[in-house]
Amino acid sequence: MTVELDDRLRELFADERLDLPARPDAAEVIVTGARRRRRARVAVASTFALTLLVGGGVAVSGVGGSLLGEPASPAPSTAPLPVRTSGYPVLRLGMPAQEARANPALTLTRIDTCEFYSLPDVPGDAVAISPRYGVARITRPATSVTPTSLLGVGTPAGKVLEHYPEAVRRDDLITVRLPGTPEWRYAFPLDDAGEVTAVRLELVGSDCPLGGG
Amino acid sequence: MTAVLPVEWVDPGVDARADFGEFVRASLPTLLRYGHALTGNPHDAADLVQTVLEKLGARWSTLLRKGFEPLAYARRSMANAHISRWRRRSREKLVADFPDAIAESGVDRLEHEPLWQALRDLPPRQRAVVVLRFYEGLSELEIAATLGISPGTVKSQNSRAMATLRKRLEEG
Repeated sequence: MTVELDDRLRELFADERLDLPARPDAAEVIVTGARRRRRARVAVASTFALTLLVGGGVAVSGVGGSLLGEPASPAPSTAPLPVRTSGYPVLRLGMPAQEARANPALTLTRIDTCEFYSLPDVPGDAVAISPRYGVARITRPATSVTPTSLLGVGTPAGKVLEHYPEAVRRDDLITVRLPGTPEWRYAFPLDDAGEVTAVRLELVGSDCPLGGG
Repeated sequence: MTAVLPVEWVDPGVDARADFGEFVRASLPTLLRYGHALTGNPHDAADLVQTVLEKLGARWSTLLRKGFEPLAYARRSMANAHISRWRRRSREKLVADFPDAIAESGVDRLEHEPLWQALRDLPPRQRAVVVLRFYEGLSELEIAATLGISPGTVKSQNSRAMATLRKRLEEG
């Protein structure tokens, strides 16, 4: 009887009638729902951090980062944000120029007041290094998106501003200051249609001409 | 402030947004089928799959960065979500009223199968153990790890489930 029941269960679970048809737009419905959940979660985290800020008088730059981090992530730090091009050592904003220059992912494109380098997956002036301030810009590959808000190339400016109400738009550039040491920001250059053309991480207050577009 | 400082930002090599959509499209048939086995009806299966995938999608880049295999993660989440949801509903006595966002047809083609009917009498955790064992082919240890319970509990839940199924089939 046991063997027979085992067999019957296996047979039942292999039955093609278990298959269910999906609506043609099912994947789109789910992707949209996932975006909605992500936004809701970020909003809740923001409210919580603000409550602490008002109630306890603590600095967002010190506490907000860990409160706003994704719950299951390793504890975020306020250290410079490391970025790794697959197969190469990490780069991080503020990393000393000499250490950054040794990274074989970098190819020198031009020298201004700062040095500019391309990356294997990012052509042009992907990385800026200031002799004084160290790494001042890291541009993410075109396929990359911001870790929690999923903003990337092609995202409309309105979405960026929706995710980051504190963002500042000047002409064809949106910048968002973020907590951390050293001070840094996201920079989202926009095209004529108002869509993001790149995601950059930039040091605030460096001497590099980072500009817009 | 809405900032997040990842410990390390590794380029996944693909567009995470497009990739999640692709993952959903590719995995929907198998997850709907699995959800059907877990819940016992198309309506709850569609709702379970939608809920779990939306949550997974909201954390997609983090999960990829941490090296999770999305399909295995989704299946594990479904088994656990199914059990938790049943507990919650039972506690709050809620009448389920979920939109059928996925399944086109609410018709259950297994409706008249005696064993399928008998499975309906199992509490969700017992049913999950049976599904993980006979649908997924997992060992007791693997089932224990998936559901976060002890191997002893897996064994006892399985014994009870099989006894109930046998009884129902004999009665039927």
